[in-house]
Amino acid sequence: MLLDFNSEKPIYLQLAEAIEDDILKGIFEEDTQVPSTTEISINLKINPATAGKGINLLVDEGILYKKRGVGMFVCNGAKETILKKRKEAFYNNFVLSLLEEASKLQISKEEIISMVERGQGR
Amino acid sequence: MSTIEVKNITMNYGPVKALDDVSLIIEPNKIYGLLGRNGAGKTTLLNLITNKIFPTQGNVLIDGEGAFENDRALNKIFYMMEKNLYPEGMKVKEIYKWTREYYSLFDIEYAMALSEKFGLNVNKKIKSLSTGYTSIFKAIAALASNAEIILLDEPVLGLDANHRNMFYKELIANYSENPKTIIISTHLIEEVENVLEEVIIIKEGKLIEKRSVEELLNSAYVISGEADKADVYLKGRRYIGEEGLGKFKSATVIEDSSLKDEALAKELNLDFAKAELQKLFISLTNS
Amino acid sequence: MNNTWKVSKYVFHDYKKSMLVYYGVILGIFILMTAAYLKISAEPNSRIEFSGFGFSAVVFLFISGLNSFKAYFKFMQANNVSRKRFFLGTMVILILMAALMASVDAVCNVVFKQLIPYEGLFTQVFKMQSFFTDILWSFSLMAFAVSSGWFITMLYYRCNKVMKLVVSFAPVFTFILLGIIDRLSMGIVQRVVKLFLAVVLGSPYLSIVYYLLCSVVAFGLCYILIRRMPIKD
Repeated sequence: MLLDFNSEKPIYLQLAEAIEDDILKGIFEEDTQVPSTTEISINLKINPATAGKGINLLVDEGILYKKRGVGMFVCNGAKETILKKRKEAFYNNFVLSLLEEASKLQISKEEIISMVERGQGR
Repeated sequence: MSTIEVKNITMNYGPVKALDDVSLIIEPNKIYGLLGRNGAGKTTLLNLITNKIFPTQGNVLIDGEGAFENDRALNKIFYMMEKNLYPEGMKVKEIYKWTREYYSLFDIEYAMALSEKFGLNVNKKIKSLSTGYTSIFKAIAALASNAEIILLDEPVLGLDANHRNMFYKELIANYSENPKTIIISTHLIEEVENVLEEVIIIKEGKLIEKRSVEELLNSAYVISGEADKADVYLKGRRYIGEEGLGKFKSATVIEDSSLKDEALAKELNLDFAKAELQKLFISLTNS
Repeated sequence: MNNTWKVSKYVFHDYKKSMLVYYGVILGIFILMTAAYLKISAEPNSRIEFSGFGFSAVVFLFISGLNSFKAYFKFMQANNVSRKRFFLGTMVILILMAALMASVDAVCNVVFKQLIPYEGLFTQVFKMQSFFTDILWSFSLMAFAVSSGWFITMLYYRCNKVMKLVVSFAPVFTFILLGIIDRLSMGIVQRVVKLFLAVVLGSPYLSIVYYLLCSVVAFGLCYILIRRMPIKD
């Protein structure tokens, strides 16, 4: 897990995304344990409260859950939850601005679709 | 869980005002950075909190009790001082043993384990330790004390990079497993930026900043790119820490990061980055 | 109370060693004395007397007092112990040491006398034998020695350079001043001093009261000094 401390994105957010990435990659399988806040904060040399914030974010989103006395585990269906979340983000960050730009350049919907097919063919 | 309340502390040494009407509250179980230039008054503040010196005006409360000559309150604090107050002829392990007399929760096995990790020979006398190892032994004593509040004055003085790295990790591990209040007074701001939760900045005896690191860093942002383009963005804006290399330029804009003009930056092909605590500190404490 | 005792423990752990050495030396000297006595008393027309251990104990305690501040104070400050508690803990152990040495001394006086013609300090001064008065008197004298040593070291620690000079010269200066006053007043000072000594050294009981009072004053002054004592190097 490598975080970019210079990036504008808050560390806790980067941490949450890094864990999500690892879940998607299969490094953390569903219903298995993820590193504790202590382990993460020691490893990355960050304040445990920051690490905790990232973990809690994932708990709130239903990606991780806490097993009392043991630690944090990946929820069942976490992969799906993450993909769904990312797809929504993809829509908001890329698709909407694509459509905005396309409208500026007066590109029709059909043209967009054929461009997509062209791109996919490569 | 203990709270420290510093109430209108003024410290005069004759005509010199070492601290000027400083008031602040240290909430429990946070890692604080106490930052300030040389002679700003950091050590004076720490000395006042721990009954080493007495304020000209004002007072210090620990958990609502006056700190003055109060053994019960003072026992909640372990103060790692820059100055060495331990007898030169005593061995490290003897000092651990005696510290346990006064700090009953002192974990001597943990102290021994840490000493081994750092390569500190506990059979050595204090006077034969290097500057680095003197700091190490005092830092270990602080961590092993299990006091509710730990004050560290320049804890990594003289430590090599490896040991500094180890120290921060041990500090984080200790804090994570046994939450406590930690105040680190240091000049090495870059290193410690991500470890701190809040900063307290003292300038010429006055408290000029006490905020969470997150908030402080969000009050500014870095813009970088081609020098001419950057200047366009910077026009009319307050900025500090200008750096340039040939055609490239970067600067820290003093403006809430939520106010950054993304559209303009995109147009000018400029990049944003997070503000650096050290740069903000330098700007805040320059005369 | 227990916490104050922890301070005493620390101060004493240092003195354990020096006291053992001290008594070791005393024992050694005593053996030498016995050997000398046996040798010399065999000769006709020989007279020999021994004394002095009481006085050496007083000196030992005075020096201990001188030694009981700086290093211990710094250590207590490192461990966030209040000055009040440091004062009490140290005072207790210093008094106990004085009591211990006074008792040992009185016992020695009795024991030595069996083997060699030895005269303790008390006997020398008051020309009488009384075990319990001996202990009490020795204790009061030793308490005064240790407390004044402690006071002097604290005073020096507290003073800055200028004050140190003043304090060092004050006794000499007072002495000279008294001498001048004496000359001018045609001997009044001398008479006062003689009267004073007669009172103090005339009766062992008055002597005890006097030294105990002085100890109380010395400890009291120590407390006043220590209240706001800063940390220096």
